[in-house]
Amino acid sequence: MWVGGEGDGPPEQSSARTPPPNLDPLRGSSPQGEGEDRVLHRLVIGIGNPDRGDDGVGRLVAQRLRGHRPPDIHIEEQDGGAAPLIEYLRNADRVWLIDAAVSGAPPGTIRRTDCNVTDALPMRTGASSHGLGVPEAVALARTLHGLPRVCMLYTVEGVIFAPGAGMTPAVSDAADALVARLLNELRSA
Amino acid sequence: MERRTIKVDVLARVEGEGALRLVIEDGKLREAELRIFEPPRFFEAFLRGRSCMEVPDITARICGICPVAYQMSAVHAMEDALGIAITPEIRALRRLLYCGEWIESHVLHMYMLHAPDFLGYDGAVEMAKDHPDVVRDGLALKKTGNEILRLLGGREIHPINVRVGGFYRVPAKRELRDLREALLRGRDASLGTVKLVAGFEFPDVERDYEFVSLGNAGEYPFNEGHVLSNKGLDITPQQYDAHFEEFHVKRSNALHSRHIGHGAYLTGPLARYSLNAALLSPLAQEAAKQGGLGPTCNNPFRSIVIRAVEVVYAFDEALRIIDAYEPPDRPFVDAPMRAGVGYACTEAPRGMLFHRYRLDTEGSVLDAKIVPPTSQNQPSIEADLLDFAPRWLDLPDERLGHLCEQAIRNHDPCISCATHFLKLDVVRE
Repeated sequence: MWVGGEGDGPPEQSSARTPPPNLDPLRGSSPQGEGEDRVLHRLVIGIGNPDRGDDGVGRLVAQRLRGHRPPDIHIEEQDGGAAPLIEYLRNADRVWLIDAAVSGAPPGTIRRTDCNVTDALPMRTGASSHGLGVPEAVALARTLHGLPRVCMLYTVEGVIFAPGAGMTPAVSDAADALVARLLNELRSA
Repeated sequence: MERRTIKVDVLARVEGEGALRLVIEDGKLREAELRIFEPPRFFEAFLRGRSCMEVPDITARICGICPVAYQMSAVHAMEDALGIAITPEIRALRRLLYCGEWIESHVLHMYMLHAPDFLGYDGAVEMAKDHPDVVRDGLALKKTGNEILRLLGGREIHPINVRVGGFYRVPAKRELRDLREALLRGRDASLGTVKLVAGFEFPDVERDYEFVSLGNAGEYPFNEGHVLSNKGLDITPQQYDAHFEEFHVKRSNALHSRHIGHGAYLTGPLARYSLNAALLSPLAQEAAKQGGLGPTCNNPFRSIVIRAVEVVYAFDEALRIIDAYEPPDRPFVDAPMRAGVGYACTEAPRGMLFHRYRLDTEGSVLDAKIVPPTSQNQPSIEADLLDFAPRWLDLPDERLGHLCEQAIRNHDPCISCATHFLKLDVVRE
């Protein structure tokens, strides 16, 4: 989950960044899941905790995307801990991260941030382990080995994050809208 | 009366939500309170009525950093209640699983949370810009620990393969052998970690702690042993309740703990090392010597060196276990149900973790008691601040606040285990 204000970045930026020259191929074992021992060409990662209301929207998008998955798209679900995300960002060529956000916008608001353009992703305090979450993972990956050629962050504004809570209908609806949008983007990416 | 207020709203790089309040009057420190406002999580209550077989997987959910500790204390307590004994092979595999957790948890804390304090950065992200190799080394080491968890636990976080009596599945010899190369590389790299952290600058402070850890088991402690202290305590986990008590303080949603008749005590790396240093492997003992450690350590800022030594040990021990491994005939021993009370203490990375369960004849939990290391360490963390902060009162507010945060991080508190952010509030009046 992201907690931030206007810093979530303007929508619809595009990256003119060239591929990072130091993107390592996989060495040793890769992050768990399908696609082991190969470079992950196109990777979608849904992030969040499905047991905390709207925080699960990233994973819901990942799950729904699976049903429509275009060929060679690798889909992962993560709880948002930094270490595995850094590993994924090291090993993938194009990545789309989907996470919930809290910025005060109306529930279900979708934001798209190009991590290769935006340097200052909002560092925040959220539901991550020891304060190391998605923004820290993106920042560390950028410093340590460069970001994937495409590194897009989609956030969906949530309002309810209580343990055991259900998802806000507007957020669930936004998940459907985001799946359609991602399918479109992935076809051309 | 001079009043000076320093407020650090969020103390990052700890797990959980809490606040620290320092009150300084006329240049003297009057209060140091660690307030935990993390909502209570009621694990002990909702374990009631659950089958003892479910408990290890439920308690693993208490913590994403040290789930193995919760599984280990739970299974050993259940086995104590049911009167069953595990095989030496299962016991060795549990030690190996714990090695994985110590590696991933200690490395996370050393490299990503604590090292920035010593190197003068706000966090790992800032530190990585000047010291990318340090962060890369940390991530690689942590990954090796995670791989042990994945193999033995079924997955890296909240493992699902531990069961009362053993494991649901035990690895083939070949699977463990496949870990060997990574562990050998990790062991070499961990010696570099000791060298790195031993070179940090440490405040010259010491405290006369009562150290409490497992010991007397003929091995550096993970899963078993007596509960020992450097002040003469030597009891079994079954006697824990008679010697330690939890108590509520208004400012904290986590219970505090004290040694009855003695007061605050400390668990964790300093205690484990000071009571068991001679049981480290020769390589880890040499690393401790090279890292400037003596037979005991009373400077909590040096806890990072002990963590590094414990990581060397964890790699060494993991390799020893893998090299000696013969798969057991069965992955678990049967666990016939009976009524009883079971107790266990195991060594979570951040300190001793006590579990007690009372079961009915069907093996359902009648009541549960879980005493996490952070609850046990809270009074000592406050005592550290009361002792150390007066030496730092002349420092600028920002530096004072930072040192207090660092003093808390010395003990790698896991507030979410104990009950989640720390807010630091320094009032000078």
